[in-house]
Amino acid sequence: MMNGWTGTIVRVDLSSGAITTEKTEKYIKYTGGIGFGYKVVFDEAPLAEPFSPENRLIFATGPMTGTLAPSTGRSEVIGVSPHVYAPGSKHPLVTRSGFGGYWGAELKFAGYDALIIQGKAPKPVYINIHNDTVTIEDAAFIWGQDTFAAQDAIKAKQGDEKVQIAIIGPSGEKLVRISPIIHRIGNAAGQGGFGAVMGSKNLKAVAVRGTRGVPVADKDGLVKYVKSVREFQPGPLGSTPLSSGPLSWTEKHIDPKDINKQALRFDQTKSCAPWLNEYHVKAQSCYSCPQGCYAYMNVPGMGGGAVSCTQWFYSWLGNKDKATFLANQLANKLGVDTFEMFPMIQFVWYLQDETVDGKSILQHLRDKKLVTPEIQAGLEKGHYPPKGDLGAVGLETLMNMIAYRQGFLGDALAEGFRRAMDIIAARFESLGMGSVAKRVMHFENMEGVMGGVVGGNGGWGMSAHYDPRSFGYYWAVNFAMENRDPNRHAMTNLLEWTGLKFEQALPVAKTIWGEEIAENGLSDLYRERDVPLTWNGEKSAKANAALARFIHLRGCIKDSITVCDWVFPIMTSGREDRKYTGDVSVEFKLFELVTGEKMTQDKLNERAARIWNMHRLVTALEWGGGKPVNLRKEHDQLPDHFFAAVETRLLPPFPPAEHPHPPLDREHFEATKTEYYAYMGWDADTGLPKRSTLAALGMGDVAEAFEAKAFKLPA
Amino acid sequence: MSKNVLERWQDVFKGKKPEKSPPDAPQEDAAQEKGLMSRRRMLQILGVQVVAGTVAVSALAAPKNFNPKHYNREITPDQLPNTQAWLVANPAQCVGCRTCEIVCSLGHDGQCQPSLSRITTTYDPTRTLSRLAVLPNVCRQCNMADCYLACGYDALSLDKATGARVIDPKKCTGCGECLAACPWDMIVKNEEANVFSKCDLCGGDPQCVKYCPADALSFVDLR
Repeated sequence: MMNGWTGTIVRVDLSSGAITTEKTEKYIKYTGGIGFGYKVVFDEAPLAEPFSPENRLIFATGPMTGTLAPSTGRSEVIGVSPHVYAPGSKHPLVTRSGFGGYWGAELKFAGYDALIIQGKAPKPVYINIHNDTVTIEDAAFIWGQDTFAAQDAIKAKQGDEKVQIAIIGPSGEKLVRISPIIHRIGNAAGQGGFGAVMGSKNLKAVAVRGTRGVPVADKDGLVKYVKSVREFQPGPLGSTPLSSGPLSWTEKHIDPKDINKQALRFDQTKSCAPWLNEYHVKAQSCYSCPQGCYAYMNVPGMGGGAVSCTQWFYSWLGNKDKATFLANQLANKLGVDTFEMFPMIQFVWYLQDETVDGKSILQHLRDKKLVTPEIQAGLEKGHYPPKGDLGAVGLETLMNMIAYRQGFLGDALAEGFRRAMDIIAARFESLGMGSVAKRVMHFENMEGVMGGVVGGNGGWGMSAHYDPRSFGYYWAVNFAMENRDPNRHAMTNLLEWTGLKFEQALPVAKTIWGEEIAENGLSDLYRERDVPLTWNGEKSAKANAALARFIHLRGCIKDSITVCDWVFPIMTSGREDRKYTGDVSVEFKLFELVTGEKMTQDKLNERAARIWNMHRLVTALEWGGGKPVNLRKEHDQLPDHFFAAVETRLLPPFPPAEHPHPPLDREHFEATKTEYYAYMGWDADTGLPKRSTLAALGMGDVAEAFEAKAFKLPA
Repeated sequence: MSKNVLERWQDVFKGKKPEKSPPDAPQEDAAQEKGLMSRRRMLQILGVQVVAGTVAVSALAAPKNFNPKHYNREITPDQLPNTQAWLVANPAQCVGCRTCEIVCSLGHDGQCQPSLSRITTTYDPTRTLSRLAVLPNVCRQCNMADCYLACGYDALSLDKATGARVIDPKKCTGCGECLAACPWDMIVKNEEANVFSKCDLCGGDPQCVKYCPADALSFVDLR
């Protein structure tokens, strides 16, 4: 047996009912997690429609999953996504999502490194995995149920409380494109719409129970090393996404060397929704994680739930009562991506605030009988004060109409905010109401409520993580290269959430990237909102390209070995005696201790580059449907509003949001891209991986397979 | 904690007799009465040790496979010295990361395999347990330890350093009497090796306590 692995991948064909296993070795070159997923999609069905039986849905773990390596309880979910919005592409694009909790570790304990699902069941089913026994079970008894009730029902049916379940709510069954996969009471594979992919396969859940173990190469070494990491690792990052001041761990409350108490440094309820603090139960962690980044809450009448980060969305949007917790419960039970709710709720406000011919867009919808009076009244109640009360009624109306696709508007919003814009505008167009349609499309330029584009339209039809206008061109390139909201936290682990002052963080950055890159890539992070990014010519282009490459390679490492994006790389520490420096080599050291394979950062980067190139090749196939494409021109772009002056009018005055920074410069963006392609070994004209690059990565066979399927790659 | 243990407790709360009372168990037998008394005493002591907040329990129910021939083996408290150290869990602080289960199995069994861990966690976040949403279950190292008394093969002995009741895998025959006798369901079966095991306090340096990131476990050491 390979250390860190079980050695087996299980495949379930829901059409034929066939259950087969294959050797993990077949995919091991791609490390695990998203690496396995992209390879399976590339080999088998890159051009599948998201809701077709051919689409592969892959749940994959990595060699760290299930072991003592800290913060490694992640499972990755890969497939062609129904959520990604790419009108320029001939076929829908592949992407990734992932979730924490115990499911991934349990899959390893059952004896599998990954699960590949294909086909479509003739009737609702769930997959039941218990060690060697893998069966497809009838799910009639839970179809239509919310995710909490259905998980309880499966556990009761099987008479085992320790079954770990990945499940969809009613929204997934109804193919809502913003439907997550839910595990337990708050772990979610949120973006990507993979809940709807499960729904399209008539697959309600995957229940897993395993009793075996995961072998590690150097158990004493691993235990010792994990202890040493705990001595400088900071506490829960991301616990206070809105915080601007020092977090609790920065030498404020507890000695950072005191590993016991690490998980208890933080009460997320206090920082996100203090008025709910009386219902806070305690901090919670995923498998093998010392961070405790989510809060268990128990509110009378609403039950128990786990809340973390964007699951606090209703409070971030301004709610100040128990509806904040209800929002979390409904999102997790019905299955609605919480991060999508930022642009979604703003879109519903926008439909009420924007008037054409003296009437709001919502009123126009009502006049054309596209919205019932009840739904109109409910949505108006959910407007921010003083128009509405931003409370439970508005929230329930919106969540239910999305999850159950109620009426024309609910059906449209269930497609995600970006597709909803197109659908609503097209309907007005067809009714001869062009001016209203135009106003609907104006929402394209939506900014986020959290400062800049965060939670607004960042491209790929998704709510955005972080604003390139604030961070810099490396973040712009990050947006452009991905097929989704990049949702990478590498840079926030340096500064945004650590509580370090900029003067403390910059020396840390220099230890990671050297003076040249840190100075030219990061020196703009803290500046007044009316100051544009500085540009030092080639120096800036190179620095930004290097940072983008770092983010992508580290991202692929995190999602393949698999470790938590919120924790790794461990850039900073709370310890003054270390000058606040963490250790960015932890991933490869853990990899070596677990697998026994001699590892260096360069070797792990090479593994990551394979995954990133694989992602690129699948994207190239999908974009042109096999015909030659120019990814640089067509794919690697940002929405226009990043390059234009901001229309503040679009920012809702409630809650007060910070004005975005001045727009990006296209020339600087393109210059950074040029340097980035050079670093990646991609062709500067087309952005396609060069044949020679693939050969150097040991992917000559993949290059050949690509050319057989599609077109000649640049040499 | 397994479901059947919870059920057994519920029966006790309701004042019901345990369902699975074996037919050959003498109901009013003096020896059993003595056994029950000592266990009651033990629980009183444990009530002090286990922090407030753990599920209150009176384990008056007879072991599942109660067998008077094995039970007690005429060992009296003076022949079975009390343990000198315990694990104590604070469920209000546990974050459910299961690091305790991982280090326990890694240390004892050489693999990350929570199903073999001698310390376990229970989850009940959606129901009534409130602050006990996640609950670490630890071996109590009982004074008149039922596992020790139940073993007919001398596989259980007292750890020289701590007094912990430990199972010698070489002597264990896999009969399962210890598992049946334990009122806390803290005996673990290794299906593959067909032996049972239990918490041995790692010889006085419990790894679970050392690596718990939430300060939810402590080691009470009276030596």
